[in-house]
Amino acid sequence: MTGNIPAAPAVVRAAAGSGVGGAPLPAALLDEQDRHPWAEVSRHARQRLSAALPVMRDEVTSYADSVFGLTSGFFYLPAAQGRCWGLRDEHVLGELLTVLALGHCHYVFQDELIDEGIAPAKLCLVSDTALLLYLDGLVDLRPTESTRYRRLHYDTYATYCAAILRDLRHRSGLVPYTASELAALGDKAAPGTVALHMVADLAGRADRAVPASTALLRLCTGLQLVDDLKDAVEDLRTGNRTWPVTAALSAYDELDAADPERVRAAVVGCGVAAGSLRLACAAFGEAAALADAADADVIADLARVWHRRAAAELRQLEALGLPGT
Amino acid sequence: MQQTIPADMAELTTHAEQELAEVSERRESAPDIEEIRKRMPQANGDQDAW
Repeated sequence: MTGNIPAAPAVVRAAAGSGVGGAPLPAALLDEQDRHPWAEVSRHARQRLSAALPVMRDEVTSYADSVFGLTSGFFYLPAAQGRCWGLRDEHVLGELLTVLALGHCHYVFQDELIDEGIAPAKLCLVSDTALLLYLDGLVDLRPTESTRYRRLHYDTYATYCAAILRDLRHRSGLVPYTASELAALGDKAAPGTVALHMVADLAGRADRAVPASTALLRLCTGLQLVDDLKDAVEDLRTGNRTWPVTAALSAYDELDAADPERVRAAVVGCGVAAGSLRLACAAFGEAAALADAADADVIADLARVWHRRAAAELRQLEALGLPGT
Repeated sequence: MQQTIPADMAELTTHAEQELAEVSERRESAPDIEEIRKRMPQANGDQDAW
């Protein structure tokens, strides 16, 4: 997967408490989810899209929750972090979640097109409007600074584009990964930091926005490593040459996505499974430390949760005593 | 594509270099894939992290 971005909060599809290793999500995220239930957020997003594009109402109504972000903890991260910094306006927080869901709708389409080379035609028609509603809705939260937030979006989108271009370079063959590429995998989430800037500003904690964004991107590097490992079979099928796919193909000839067990065995055997989890643990550890320094408790807590999850999976892998681990 | 490494990413980049080196070293002596396959548990269907 290309990796959606949190502004477009890509976000966690896992229900609270599930996931690798089973470590539960931070309480602040679950609390935010309780205050703004997913059914409410997705309904508002569908209403907003239907109002802007009445002709597409049936299409929008038919969308699964996953098009808008699902009930993941990650989706609620900007709102929860804003509340932690002192933002208490429920209307603003609810609106933020709605616009993030709209952004997610756009990036679902974009990710699918990039990853698969094909996407549903009607989603294509809706996608541009979803992006516009996301951007307009976001800047309307603080209209006096709208130019600055749009600028932030363009800047972070450029970072996202650079990250996607690095991905695409690997599709031309077995192009080895570099260390800097792996460390910067989280850059694909860069547009998600605009929401973090927004809540920091609204909470009167503007000085926290940049360091918290750095922590968030480090967290996202870990998440991307975990996801790329999990998605190796599908990525092999679609030609998405992530690090696990590239490493497995380099070590073993003739891997076929139609034989998923063989692919997973190759990912373990070439050492990239353990390597990905170790590197993810390092990224989560750094993210927690950076977030602590930024007084971004929710990000820090989520990074620790994922550190536990990745470490647990690494231990499980090592316990098998397989070559490559 | 050359990528500038931000100073605050140096530690993670160094760690990534080590992991890449380990994977690269294994490439020539990768274990038999069928042996690994036999001993691996079934996939558990965990959902995406994002």
